[in-house]
Amino acid sequence: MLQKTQIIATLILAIMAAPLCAYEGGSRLRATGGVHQVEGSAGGGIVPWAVIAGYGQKGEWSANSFATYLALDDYQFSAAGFSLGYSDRVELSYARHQLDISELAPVVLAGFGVPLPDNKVSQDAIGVKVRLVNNLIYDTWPQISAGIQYKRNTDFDVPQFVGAEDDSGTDFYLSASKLWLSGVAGYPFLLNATARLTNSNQLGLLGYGGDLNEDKEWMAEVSAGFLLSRDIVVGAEYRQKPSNLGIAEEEDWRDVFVAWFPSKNFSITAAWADLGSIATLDQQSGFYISIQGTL
Amino acid sequence: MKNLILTFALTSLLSACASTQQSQKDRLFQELGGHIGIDELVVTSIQFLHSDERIAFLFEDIDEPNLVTQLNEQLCSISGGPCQYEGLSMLDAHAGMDLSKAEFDIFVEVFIEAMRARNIPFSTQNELLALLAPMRVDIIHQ
Repeated sequence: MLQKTQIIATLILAIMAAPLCAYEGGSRLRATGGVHQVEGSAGGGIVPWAVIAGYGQKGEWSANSFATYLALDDYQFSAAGFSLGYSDRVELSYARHQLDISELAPVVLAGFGVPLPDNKVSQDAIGVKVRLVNNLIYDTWPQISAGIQYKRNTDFDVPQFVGAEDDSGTDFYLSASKLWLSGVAGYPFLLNATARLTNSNQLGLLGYGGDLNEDKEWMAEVSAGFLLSRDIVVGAEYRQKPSNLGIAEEEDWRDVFVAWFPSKNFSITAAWADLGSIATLDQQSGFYISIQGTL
Repeated sequence: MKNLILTFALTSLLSACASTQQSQKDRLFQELGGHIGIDELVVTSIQFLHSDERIAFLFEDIDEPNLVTQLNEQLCSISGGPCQYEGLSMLDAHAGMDLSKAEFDIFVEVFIEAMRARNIPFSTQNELLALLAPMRVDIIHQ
């Protein structure tokens, strides 16, 4: 329900912003705020980047809203939320996640002889990111930011059932992003590398830590993309994942995406995501769509 | 006679090399439309800057003919054209103006609009921007 409200809020924000055109979300160049990754931080689709959400430059604010939907073979995932960027320095974000697991119920019943405690799992994610040094475009060295994502699972029955230790966790990450303007054959090239310290199982939808491992580990995440024009970015991402649950192996995530920024107030991203095995169901991949409004 | 032919062949070869190098060196200048193209770009940019309310005030009391000359020289020189930029350094040219990061970004945005208006290809735009980007450090907060 909340998801629908958020999707509507995002659309309203985007539609409001278009005719008003009073504020474009700041002075920075179009597409340089990226989009919102699943946990609500500015980045690609699954990886947070060093960029600050929106287009705020020094002294400027930017407010953003997003909604994401991913249809996997056996699950549906939705995320929605908002973020505030200030001064190209600080970013605050909130996201709500929901994973529909109703197709898992018969599998669990057949395999374990017990009913699944719930047909969905949800969680909240709160993020803070600070740009430490450099500018994405104009400096020789990459823009570097540090961030925190605090996540709390609000339907812990299922995660507990699969062996998760905690219902909440905090990820720390360090991201380095750089855009080479002349890139390859005159097409700007973006590269991002993120190191994340985490014990989240499937973003935390399956809780934090597990019977195999409780501790946080460093994971590598990478995104690369080309600007085909001022408003179209195509690229690919990779996110290494821990595997803490004995009965539910977790695999690395990857995606290929195309994002369109028709204005500074709106963007839409389509992607094909391959999330591997999720809660015993293997080879989960599917179509990802995300919209974003910026003021 | 043999020596003469050899000398001639070598000279031709070398001058061929030199001329390829020359055409390589001014490729971006040619893609921008040479002197005429660059002048049109400069004039369009200044027009657009004047009509952008976020940044127009910075160009109100400016010596415009001088700005046109300087920008022409600079873009010609940086793109490998047959010019030498003899104006002030970027640091000296912006001294005391205390330009903000936001003003710089808006300038780039308007400059991109001008390049689009002049139908400069996307890849050429980016090659030029990449050459201008390192100047930012000398332009802002001076």
